[in-house]
Amino acid sequence: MSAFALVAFGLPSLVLPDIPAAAAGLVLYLGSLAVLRPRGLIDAWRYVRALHH
Amino acid sequence: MHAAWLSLALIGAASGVFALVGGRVMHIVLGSAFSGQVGRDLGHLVVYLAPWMVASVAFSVTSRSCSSSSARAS
Repeated sequence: MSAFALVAFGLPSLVLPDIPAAAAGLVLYLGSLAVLRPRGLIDAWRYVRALHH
Repeated sequence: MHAAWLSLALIGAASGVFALVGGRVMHIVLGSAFSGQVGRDLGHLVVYLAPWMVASVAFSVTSRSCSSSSARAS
């Protein structure tokens, strides 16, 4: 997770100003989690959704 | 265990956002008294505490799993 965050927020901060870099980093971070889909995170999300329903 | 994964994802996102725009977030949330360097330092505090948050989550998860496995054994 920390590697995802470091890369996702670090790369845009090198080329963009603060606010666009934060927004781009957030999109990259969430996008990378959605694409790579770590198994533990997917299981946790399914568990929370099952609790909710 | 499930809460740990979700917590770690949120910690990562929050650390990244606060590292870049923490000062501005603090200024918006806490007012003009926390603008400038004070707000930036406060925002960076979230980033500095991220390893502690990760360690805390890891400890919570492992201590619970250790206690449940010892309860099963006895």
